[in-house]
Amino acid sequence: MVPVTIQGVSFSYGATPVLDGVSLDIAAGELFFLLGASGCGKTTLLRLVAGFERPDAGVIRFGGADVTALPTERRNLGMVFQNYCLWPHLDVAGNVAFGLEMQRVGGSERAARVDAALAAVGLSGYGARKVGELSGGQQQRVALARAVVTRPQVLLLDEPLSNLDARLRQEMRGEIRRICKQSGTTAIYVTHDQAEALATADRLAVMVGGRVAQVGTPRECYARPVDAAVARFLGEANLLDRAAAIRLTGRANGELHCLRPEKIRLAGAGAPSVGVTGAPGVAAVLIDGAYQGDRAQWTVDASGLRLTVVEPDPPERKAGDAVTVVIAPDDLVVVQP
Amino acid sequence: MNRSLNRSWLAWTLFAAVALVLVIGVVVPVVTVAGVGLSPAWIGEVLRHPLQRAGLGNSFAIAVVTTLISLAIALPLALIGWRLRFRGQGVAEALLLAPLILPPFVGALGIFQLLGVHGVVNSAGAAFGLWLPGHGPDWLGDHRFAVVCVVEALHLYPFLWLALAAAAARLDPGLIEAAAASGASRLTILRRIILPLLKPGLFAGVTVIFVWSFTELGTPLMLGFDRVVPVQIFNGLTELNTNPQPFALVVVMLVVVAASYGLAQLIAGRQPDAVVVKGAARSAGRQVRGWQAVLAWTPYLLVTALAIAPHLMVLALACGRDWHGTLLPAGVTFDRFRDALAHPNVVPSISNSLFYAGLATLIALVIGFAVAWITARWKPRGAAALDALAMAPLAVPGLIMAFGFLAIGVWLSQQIPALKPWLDPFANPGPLLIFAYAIRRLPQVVRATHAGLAQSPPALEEAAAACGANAWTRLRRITLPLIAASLAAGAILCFSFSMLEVSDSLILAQKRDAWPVTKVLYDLSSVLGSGPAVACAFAVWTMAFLAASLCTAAVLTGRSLTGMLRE
Amino acid sequence: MIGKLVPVLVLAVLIALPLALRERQASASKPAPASSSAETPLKNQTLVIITPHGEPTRAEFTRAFTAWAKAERGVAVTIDWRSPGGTSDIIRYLEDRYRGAFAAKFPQHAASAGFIFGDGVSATAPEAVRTAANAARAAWLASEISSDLDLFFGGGEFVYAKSAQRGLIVDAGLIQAEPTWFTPDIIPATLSGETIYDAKGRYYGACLAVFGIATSVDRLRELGLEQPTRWSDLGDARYFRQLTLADPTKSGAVVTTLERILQSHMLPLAAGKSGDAEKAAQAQGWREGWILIKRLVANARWMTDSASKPTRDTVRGDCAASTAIDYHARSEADWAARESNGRERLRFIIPKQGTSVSADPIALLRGAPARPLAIDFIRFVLSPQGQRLWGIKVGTPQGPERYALRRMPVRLDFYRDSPRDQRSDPDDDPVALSREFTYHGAWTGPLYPLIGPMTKAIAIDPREELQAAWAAIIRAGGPEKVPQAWAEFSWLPVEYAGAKDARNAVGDKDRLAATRVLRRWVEESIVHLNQARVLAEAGR
Repeated sequence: MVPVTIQGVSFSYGATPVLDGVSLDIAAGELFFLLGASGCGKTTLLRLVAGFERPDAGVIRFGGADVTALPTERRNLGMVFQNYCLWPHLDVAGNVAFGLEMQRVGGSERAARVDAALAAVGLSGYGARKVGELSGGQQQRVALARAVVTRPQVLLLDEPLSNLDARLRQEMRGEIRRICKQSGTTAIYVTHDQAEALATADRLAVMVGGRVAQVGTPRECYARPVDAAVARFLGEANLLDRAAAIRLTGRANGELHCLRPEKIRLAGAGAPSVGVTGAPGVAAVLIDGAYQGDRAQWTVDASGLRLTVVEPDPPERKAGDAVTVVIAPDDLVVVQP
Repeated sequence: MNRSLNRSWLAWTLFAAVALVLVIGVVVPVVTVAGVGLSPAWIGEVLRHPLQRAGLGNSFAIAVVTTLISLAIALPLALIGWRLRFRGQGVAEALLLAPLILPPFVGALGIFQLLGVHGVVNSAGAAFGLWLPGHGPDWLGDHRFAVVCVVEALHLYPFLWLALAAAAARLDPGLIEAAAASGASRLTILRRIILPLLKPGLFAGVTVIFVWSFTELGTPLMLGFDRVVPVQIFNGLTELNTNPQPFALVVVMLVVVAASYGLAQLIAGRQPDAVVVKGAARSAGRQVRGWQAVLAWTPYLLVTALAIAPHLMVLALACGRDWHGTLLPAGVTFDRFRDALAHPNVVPSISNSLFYAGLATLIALVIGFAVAWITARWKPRGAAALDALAMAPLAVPGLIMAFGFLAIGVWLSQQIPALKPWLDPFANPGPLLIFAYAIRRLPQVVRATHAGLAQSPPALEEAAAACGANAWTRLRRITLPLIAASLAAGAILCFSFSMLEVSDSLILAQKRDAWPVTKVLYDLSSVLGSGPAVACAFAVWTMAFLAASLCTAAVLTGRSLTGMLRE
Repeated sequence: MIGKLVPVLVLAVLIALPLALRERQASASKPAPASSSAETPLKNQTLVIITPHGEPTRAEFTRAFTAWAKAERGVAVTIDWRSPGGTSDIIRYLEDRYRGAFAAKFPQHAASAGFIFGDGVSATAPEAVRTAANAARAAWLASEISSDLDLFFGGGEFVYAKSAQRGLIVDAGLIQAEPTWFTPDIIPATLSGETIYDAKGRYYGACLAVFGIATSVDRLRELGLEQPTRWSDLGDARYFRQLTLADPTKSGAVVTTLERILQSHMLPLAAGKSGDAEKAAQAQGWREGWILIKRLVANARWMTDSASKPTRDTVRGDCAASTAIDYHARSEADWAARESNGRERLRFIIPKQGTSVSADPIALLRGAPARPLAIDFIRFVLSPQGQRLWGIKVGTPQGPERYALRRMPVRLDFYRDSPRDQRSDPDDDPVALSREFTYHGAWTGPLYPLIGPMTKAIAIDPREELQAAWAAIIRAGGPEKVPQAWAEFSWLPVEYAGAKDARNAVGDKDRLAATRVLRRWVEESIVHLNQARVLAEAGR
């Protein structure tokens, strides 16, 4: 396991700039996420780390070694693709064993490691199956086994779960994290799904428009987004300017604030203050809402401001109800516009 | 993979090497021949000559009529095959490909037997009382233009059909269903949905047929229709006095051909890369049985019957005796087969042809794969030019290139005597023939390989790189196995058609023990007396051989015959 | 699974068949094993012969000569036959090789290599070029440069005469070596006005050829026509679209035939005349001959590119008649009769006073690598033994073994000495023919290069217009009924007096100028022919 250093990397497709001066330090053994909307450059960055493209500027290092100019096959990687990319003319064992063949691992050891890898992903005994006979989830596991069997120094994952259904995605998320932590490989994972990133990453980088907007642990990025874009990307966010902040909480910490929906407390009409915070309540009206079982998501109008509120274990409410909205001023996080 | 190879000198060396080979193989022969005629004075002379102008007009007329007839044959068949499923469909479609295995020269012999004044058709008419024996219509004398067009159409339609069938196979049946759900009638769907979607494939196929029938030499030459451009060129080139005039005509013809392709590109637009079809493609066909299936079979049988009439004539000529003015020969003999196969020229020609065609296929595969990889994967600047160069042999008439190769071979062997045993076509035509065949078949190999590469996602190669495979290993273990079927299809096409190659064989193979099969056929069919019958017997062998090798290829690649040829 | 194997099996069988048959054939014809006494191994020699002759001739002479060489010279000969095509292809090929070899051997003359055969230098070229050209030609004629070929066998006498003058073929010395052969009784120097062997020994007639008419018995019967006896019969209206002719620009044989047609018109008119009267008669014969040629082309169904195709058409009954060389027509007639259980399908007719007897020569090439053996071959061909191969039936002792060549031997003693029942065509009598027709080389010989291009320009190229005009004239009742139309139809661009200049114009080094002349002829022909049609339709 090695740390991965990306320094000042820029890249353009023809005339279109895609990455602009990206720098990241990924620690050894870390499960690092690149998160962002489509077109933000995350996949491109991953492909640069993989070596499929060469950056126009900047340096990529694995440990101390400069791999910027090194061809892919010499970087000792493992890679899991969005479309699995299993070779249809080889069977499952053949796919998994391929990397070991490249490493010139001998026959019996190779077979043993292939079996172990398949067992690790829960596909023992599937070695002789044809790729076309497997389901999507099974194919992805084979792809994973293929990527890790060679004990790579860096593991790259390009939206590996986006082609799977929701339940499978959740399952596999856990599997991937377990396998990565077990082998201790440095892993870089690209996704547009913020829930996935928040749930699985050690640290993540939010990318917007070819630049790294914020790097940090999931908790840091979620609770303290650095700007409005990051805030909006990592879940629902209420953005309040100075005036709105004062109106709601009596205090403003900066020019623009981010307020998470789950931080807003709803009380019945007319409650002067709620709970420990002692914050003053603001009268509001329920505009709209969706009951989601374990919680409800409401849109409320508090003195002219539209707010999104998430309430766990919600009581029965309906549109038009009068409520009191309570916000602790500390929950207002200052963000860049 | 693109950028990391930008600076790879290995890749650029490959590009340069392939470009060099193509320039030598394609540009130099054409320039050698056309260069002589590239003077404004001569071209003006040609354009002013009433015969040449008439020839151009006739060639155009033949090309248009032939294309229309081919379209009338191929389009309905392609649509029927796409829309319906019936028992034995694979066989019915395979039968349509019969013209592909008809060897040259003997086909003309078959036509004469069929349409001569005392031929089969007239004898049949006399038998039915339509006219007195010997007084039937002189088809070849009076209706030559029509006969030429029909014969050419029956010879060329398989190529159009293959292109259309391939294009139809790429149609999403969901589009048809959506139109039907909107209340469109069958005819409307055909007109407004299907045909417009088929446009790229249609245009590509139609352009090829147009150019081929414009530049076709064999049929009008055999049938004596000499007021067409290719025959005028051939006559000029083989005249007793050497004369730059035919070369100027060559330049004019090349301009017309280039203009046709250019116009077609403009109208139809560039054909997009084959789209990767995720999951199994749903077939648009609906099953028919019983009398409906019989109805479905009918057009196939009809067309096949017309198309293989020459083959049947050849077979009959080979075994028939005393066949003059009657519907069928009076007797049967198999002596000709024995004579043909034991003929001292035949066995060496078979091994020659197998050798030439085999080696040529290998060379075409290597060059073709290189070109396809450059244009489908790497796509550097200049890839389009390379592709055009590799496809150029489709447009240049065989005769021109053959003469070009001949001139180059003779010139080189005189300049560098050390090369004489290799390059002098009169000492050893082998190397020149092999190279000529390979270049001639290159377009088919390139297209087949390109299609295979386009349908094979590059990500699979990237995955291999991520597993530590270097470029050579990736090629060997991943790319080639994945496109093996496409390569096999291209190889078989190259091999089979090299066995039937006409112009190069006639003009380059000057030494008797180096003669390929087609030269022996030509020689035998020119001998008086029993020559034509023996030639037909040999031709029957050739047809059987080709049919068997095409079927073998289909078996080996696990595809159907038509599926294999359809690119 | 088995179904899948079928094509592979078929393939294997197909490849095995010819091999198996070949083996059987080879072992069947293997010569008897050598006698027990120790044999010294024979020296191997190869003879390279370039020829337009077909397989039968090649096979028979190979067999006979190799046997002769083994017996008489103790040499195992292999003959390497080269057949690039017709004589025009052969000449082109030879000249290319010689020119290239010359340029390689005499680099100092390389620039003038284009003139070594005697093609004239352009009048506007500077003196230096002319001198260099002459020097090159002298060097060429004095040299022993080789084309790697030994012999040139078969073709027209005119071609050989030209090749001799150009230096491609050289004296084989046979006239001196076999003086008894080259007498008027055995191998005459000329026959019916044609050269049989070159006075300088550069080529020798190996056999004789006659040009005539091949007719389809069935077709003539269907059309209710009598057998034609003269050339002019074929110009009759009743033969409209019933002839097949070969393009003279492709075939030297056809040019020779057309030349004979011209002479056959000039002969009777010029007989017994001299001076101006003779010249006027020749001009008149020239006119009439060309008009007949136009009528022939007008009567043609189509024009073929090779000289054997018309004969094929005739035997198939697709046309009523065609011009043919004797041996072509005869072997075709033989084969057809065999196929049809003896029924005669094709008959060859020698037109009255219409043809001379031509030589089909053999010659030694300059710089022949196997010169002594090559001369032996020529001697063998001209010897009584070799001559028998041409005209004796198959199976007769000392005759051909597989193919009947059906050609007239050049040795006149053959006709006297061979029994009639052994000969394949016992009625052939070249001496009798020579008395009927004498070819006057001076009259049209120099005009030979004009005939093909002129025919093409005034008849073949405008064939559609020609046939339309002729059809209109026929419908109107014939040339007598529409004299004005006939006058237009009979238009010629060149009279006999101007023929030499026309030949020079057509053979001009400046191909562009030559093409322009021909184009003008085509255009003018079209104009006159269209006019002829219009006049005929109007009854004038």
